[in-house]
Amino acid sequence: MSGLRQIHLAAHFPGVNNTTVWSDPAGGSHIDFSSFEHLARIAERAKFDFFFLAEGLRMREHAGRLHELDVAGRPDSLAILASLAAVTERIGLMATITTTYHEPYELARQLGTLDHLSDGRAGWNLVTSSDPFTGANFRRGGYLPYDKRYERGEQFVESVQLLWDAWAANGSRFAYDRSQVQIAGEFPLPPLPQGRPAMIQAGDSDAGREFAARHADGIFSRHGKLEDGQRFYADVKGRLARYGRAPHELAILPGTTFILGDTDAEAQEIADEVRHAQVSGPHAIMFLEQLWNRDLSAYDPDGPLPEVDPDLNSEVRAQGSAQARTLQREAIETAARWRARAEADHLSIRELVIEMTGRQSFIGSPQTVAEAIDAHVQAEACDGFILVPHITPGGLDRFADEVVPLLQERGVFRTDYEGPTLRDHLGLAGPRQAAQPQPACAS
Amino acid sequence: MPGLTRQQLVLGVSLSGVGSHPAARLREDPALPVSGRYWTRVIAEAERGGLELVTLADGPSDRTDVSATNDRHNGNRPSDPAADDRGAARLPWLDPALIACRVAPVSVAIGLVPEIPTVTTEPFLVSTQIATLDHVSGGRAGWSVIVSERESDGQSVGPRQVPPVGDRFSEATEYIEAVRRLWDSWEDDAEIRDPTTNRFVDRERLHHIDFEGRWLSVKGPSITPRPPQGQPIVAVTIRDEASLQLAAEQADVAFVTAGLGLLDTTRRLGDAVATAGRDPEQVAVLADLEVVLSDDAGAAADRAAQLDTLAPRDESAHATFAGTPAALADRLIEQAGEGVHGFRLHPAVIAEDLPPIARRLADELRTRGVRPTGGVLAQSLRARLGLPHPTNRYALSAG
Repeated sequence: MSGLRQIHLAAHFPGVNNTTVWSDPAGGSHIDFSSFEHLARIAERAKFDFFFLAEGLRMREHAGRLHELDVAGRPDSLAILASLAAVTERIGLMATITTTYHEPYELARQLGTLDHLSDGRAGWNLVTSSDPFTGANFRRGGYLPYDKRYERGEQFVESVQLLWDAWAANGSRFAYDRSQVQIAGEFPLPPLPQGRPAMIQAGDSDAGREFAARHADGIFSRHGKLEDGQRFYADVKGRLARYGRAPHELAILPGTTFILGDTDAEAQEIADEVRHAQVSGPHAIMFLEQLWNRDLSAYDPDGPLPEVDPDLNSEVRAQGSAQARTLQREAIETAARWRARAEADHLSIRELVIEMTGRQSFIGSPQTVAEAIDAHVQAEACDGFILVPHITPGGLDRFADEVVPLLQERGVFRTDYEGPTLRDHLGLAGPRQAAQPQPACAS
Repeated sequence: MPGLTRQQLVLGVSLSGVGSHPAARLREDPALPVSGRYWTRVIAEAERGGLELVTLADGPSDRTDVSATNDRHNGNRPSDPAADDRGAARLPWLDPALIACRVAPVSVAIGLVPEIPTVTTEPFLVSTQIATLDHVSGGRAGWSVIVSERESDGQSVGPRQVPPVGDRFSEATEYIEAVRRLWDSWEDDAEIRDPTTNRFVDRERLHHIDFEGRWLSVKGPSITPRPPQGQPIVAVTIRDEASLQLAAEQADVAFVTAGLGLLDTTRRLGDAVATAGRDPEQVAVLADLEVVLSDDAGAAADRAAQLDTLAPRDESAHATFAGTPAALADRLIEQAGEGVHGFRLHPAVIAEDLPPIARRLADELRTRGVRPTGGVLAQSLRARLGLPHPTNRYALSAG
C-alpha cells in the first residue's frame, strides 16, 4: 500500500429535507424497500464503509402546521437495516439514534441483534436531543433539560456497553445505577461479532467534541471545507491522547453533497438547476420565515426582502428542523448580512436563499471531484466523507461508477473489503474496551 | 373475499428459540438462533408448508421473574452465575422484531408476527417498526402483544416507573390504541408530489393522533407512511379474563389454548367481542397446540416422554399432541368445530417437528380439503386470514 492516507466513504440515504429533490423525474419512493436496497447495493459494490440513515422522530412543523414542501416519511432505521442485512454482505449498516428518547436496554438489544444478524456490520450515530416537540411522541415527553443531555448521553453509552459486555463478564446479568439511567436484569445477547458496534457521534459543541474523543469511533462532522475542516480535525484529534487513544481510532467524516457533470462547466449548470429545484418560491419564503420568525406569506419570493426586522420574542415557528434552530441563534446579524448581500447583488428573496443556503460541496467532472476529495483527506481536513445524494435512489450511481475508480487509481481507496466487519472497514482494531474504568457500575 | 374460506383452517407456527419445549435446548445448540442464516432456513421451511403465519417468541416460555434475586435497590451485586440455577434466563435470544425484518426480503408469502412487549417499550417506536416490516414484506406484518406480568421487567427501563402488574392490561389497551392510531395517521394518499404547489405531502391527509390516556400520551402523526395493510395484524394470547378482554377490544387474531374448555373460551370471546361493539367474524381465533411428530405413533410418544423427562413442562403451558401427522390432522379437524378458525402449532423441537408440519401435516390437511391447494398467491396477511382491509379512521372526516 502507498504512503497516502486512505479515504473512508459512506452513503447517506437522501434526507427528509430540501436537499432531496423529489420533483426530479428520477426521484423514486422514500419508503419502498427497493429504494433502500438500491442505494445499499450500489454503495457496497463501490466498497463504501457504511450505509447511513438519519433519524427524525417527529414530523416537521412550520408555524404550527405540518410541513408540506419536502420529502416526508421514513421507515424505522433499525428495522430497515435488519432487512438490508439480508440483501447485502459486507457494507456497514449505521443508524442515527438519539439517547434522549431511546432506552439503553432496548437499544442495546436491538443494535446487538443487528450486529448478530449482519455478522458484525452494525453501527450507530449517537445524537442527543432535548426538544419537547419530539418528546410529545414519547412516554417521558420533554423531560430532559438542555444541559442534561450529555449527562444522559454519557450514561446511555456506559450502560449500553455494560450490557454488551454483560454476557462475558457476569453471565448475562447487569446492574447500572446513576442519575439518568437506572437499570438491572438479564441481557440475552452473547458477545457481539464486533464486541461493540462502531459508534460515531455528531455533536459539535465543546462538550460534544470531548464526548466524541472519549467514546466515539468516528464523527459525523459539519466541517467539510478545507481550512475549517483542518481546524476541527486538529482540535478533535488533539483531544484523543487524554483518553489514551491514537489519532486513527477516531474517523472524522463530514457530511457532503456533490454534483457531477461531463465537464466542470456542465456540472456547474446542473448545480444551479438543482439549487433552483431545492429552493422553490414557497421554500424561499419558508426559509425566510425561519430566520425572521414572522409570517411572511404575503411576500413575493421573486420580490425584495421584507423591510421589518426578525421577531426575537415569539415562539420559534419551525419545529423539528436543525437548520431553523441554528438560524435562530444569530437572527439579527444574519438578517443584516442577507440584506446587504441582496442589495449589493440585486437579488430576489428566492435568489438570495439559493445563494445563502446549502451550496453543494463538490461540483465538477469525476476527475475534479475525485481530486478535491483526495486533497481534503491528504491535507488532514477529514478522513473521508458521508455522501448525501440529492436523488432517491439513484443519486449515488454515477459517483460509484466514475469517481470511485479514480480514487482507487490514485491508491487512496480500497478495491475490496479487507475484513468482514464495520470496525474493519473503519480501520479500527478489534472490539474497543472502555476508555476509562466504569466509575459507578454496581458490578 | 380472498383468503381462506371458512371451511378451511388457518395454519401458523410459533417459533421459539430451538423449540417450544424446555428440553429442546438440551437437544439442539441453543446458540443456533443467534444468526440470520438460522432464521432464513427456518422461515423457508415454514413457507414450504404454505403456512399463513409464524410468530417469533420474545423469550423462552419458562423464563422466570428474577426480581427476587437481583434487586438493585438493595445494592446487591449480581451473584455468581455458576452458583445459582437460572435455567432459561441465560439463553441467547435475539430481538424478534428485527429477526422478522431480517427474513422479510428473503421470504415471499408468509405472515411475520414478532412478539413485542408493551411495558418496557415505546408505542411510537413499535408502531414504526411494525409499519416498516409491513412495507418491506409487502403487507405480511403482525404484532403479537406481550403484556409482561413479571415484576422484574420494569427494572430494564429505570428511572422510568412502569405500571404495577395489576394495571398492565389497562396500559396495554391504551398502548395498542395509540399504535393503531399512528398506523392511520397518514392517509393512503397523503403523498401527493404536486409540482404546481411544490408540495410533497398534503397536510390535510396527515393527522396528529393526540392520544392522551391514563398511562401514556402520543402526539403523532407517525413518521412512517401508512403500512400496506392499513392496520397490520394485532394478536393477543388469551390466558385469563384480562387478556380475553384485551383481545375482545383490540385483537385481529386471538390465540387460545387447544385444551379442555376450548369451546367455552371461544364462546366467551365471541360474546366479549360483540359487547365491545366489534364483529366477531373479524377476529380470527387460533388454538395453540405443542406438537411432537413422527411417522410412527410410538416413536412420537417415546420422544415426548423423553423430552418431559429431560425438562419437566409447566403444567399451565400449551395443550400438547404427540403422534403422526395424519392423526394430528384428524385432531385439528375435530377441534375446529369448537369455534376456532385454525391453529398455531408449537414445534417442540424445531429441527425435528417443523419439517413434518410443513410437509406431511400440510399434505394431510390438503388431502382432507381443509387447506388451499396450488401455489400461495402473494397477498397481505389480512387477506390470507380473511380479514377485510380496514378503513382509515381519519379519512372518514374527508368523505
